[in-house]
Amino acid sequence: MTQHDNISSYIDNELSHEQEQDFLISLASSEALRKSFRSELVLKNIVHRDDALTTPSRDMRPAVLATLGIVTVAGVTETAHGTAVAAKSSVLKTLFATKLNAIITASLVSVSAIGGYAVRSYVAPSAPAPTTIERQVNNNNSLQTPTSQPHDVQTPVENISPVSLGSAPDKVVSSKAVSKKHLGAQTTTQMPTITNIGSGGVTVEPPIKIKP
Amino acid sequence: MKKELKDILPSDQKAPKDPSPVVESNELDNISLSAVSLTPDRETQLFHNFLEGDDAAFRTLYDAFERSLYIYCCRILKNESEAKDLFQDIWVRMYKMRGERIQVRRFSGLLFTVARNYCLNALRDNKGYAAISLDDISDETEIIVRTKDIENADLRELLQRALSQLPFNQRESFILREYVGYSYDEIAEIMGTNSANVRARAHRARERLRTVVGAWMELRTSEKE
Repeated sequence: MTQHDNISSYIDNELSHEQEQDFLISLASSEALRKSFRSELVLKNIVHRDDALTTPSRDMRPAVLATLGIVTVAGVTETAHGTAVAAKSSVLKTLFATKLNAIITASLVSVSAIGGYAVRSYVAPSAPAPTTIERQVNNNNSLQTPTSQPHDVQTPVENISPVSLGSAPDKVVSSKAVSKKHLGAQTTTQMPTITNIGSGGVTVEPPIKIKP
Repeated sequence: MKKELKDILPSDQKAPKDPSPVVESNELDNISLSAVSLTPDRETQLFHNFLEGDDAAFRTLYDAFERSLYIYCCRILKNESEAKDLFQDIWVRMYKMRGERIQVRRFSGLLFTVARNYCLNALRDNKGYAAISLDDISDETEIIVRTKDIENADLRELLQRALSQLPFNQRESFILREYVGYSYDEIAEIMGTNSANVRARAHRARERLRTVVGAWMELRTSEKE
C-alpha cells in the first residue's frame, strides 16, 4: 500500500502509530502527496456539504405512508385521541366551574344569612313583640298563633256544608272572581280571611266553595 | 431458512445479476450497522413488532432510515425523480413483509439489500446511463474537468457527475462509506462480499474522485494566477 492509499486511512484515524509516523514523514517530503492530501480534504468537505443538502422533501414522508395506508389510520387515531382528551378536559373544566360556582353561591348565601341574623339580633331588642294572629273562619273559629312560634300557621279550617260532603265540589274559583260574579247575589259564599304572618305579609286565600 | 431475493423482490422485477443475489437469513443476522440512531436491539425489536402488525414501529423505522436511504438512492441513480420513485417502491416492498416470518438481526441490512437490488434493476433498465464508467474513460478525466462548462460549475455538481461515472460497486462502496457512514464490514454484508474487497473498491473510487477534485483545484489555482 502506497502513501497515497494511506491518506483516507489517516483521515479516518485507521493507521497505527508507526504507520501514521511514516505517513507524516512522507507527507512532509512529497509535494504530490500533499496535493493528494489537499484533494482528499476538499473531497471530504464536498461530500459533507452534499450530504447536508440532500434531504428528502417534507411531503415525502406523508406520501409514502399514505401509499402504505398507515398515515390515515394514524391520523384518525391521533385525531380521535386528541378529541377525547379535549372533551375530557372540557368536561373537567365544566365540572370544576360548576362546583366552584356552587361553592361561591353557598358561601354568599351563608354570608347573607349570617349578616341577616346579625342585623336581626341587633335590631331585635327594639322590635315589637310578635302579634297574635287571629283568624276568623265563619265567624265561629278563631285561631291564635302561639307567641313563641310566630311562623307556625295552622291550616285554615273551613266549614263545609253537609251537602258538599256527598259530592265533589262543583267549582273552585278565587275569591276575586267570586266577589265580582256573586257580589250582589247574596249567596252563601264565604269571604276569604286574610292572615298576616310576621312581617312578611303573607296572604293566604283559601279556596271558596260555591253552592249552586 | 434460505430466502432468495427474487422471493423478496416484486414478481414484476427481475433478480439482479449481481454476484450476491441470494440472501440468507443468517447472513442478515450478522449485519450490524451503526450509522442510525436506533440501537441494534431496538431496531430488531421494532422490525419484529412491525412484522407482527405494529404500524407505529414501521413509522419509527421509516423515520430512522428515511434520510440515509434517500441519499443512497439519489447518489446511486443520479436521477432524483427516479430515485424518489424507487425510494417509495423500496418502502412499499418493506411494508409488504408484514406478517411474514423473517428472522433478521438488523433491519438496516435487509433494507439496504433490498434497495441495492432495486437500484440494480433500475440501472439495468436504463442501460445507457449505467454503461458509462471512469474505467472506460479514465484518460479523459482531465478533459472532463477542463471543459468550459465545468469551470463555472459548482464543485458539488462536479462530484455528482464524477460519482455517476464510477462503476456501480465502487460508487456504492463510496456512498455507503462516506454518505451513510457504514463500516467496511457492514458494507460487505450488504454487498455480499468481504471487507477487503469493499475497502479496495472504496479506495479506488476515492482515488478517482480525488483526481477530479485535484484537477479542479489546479484549474482554480491557475485561474487566480
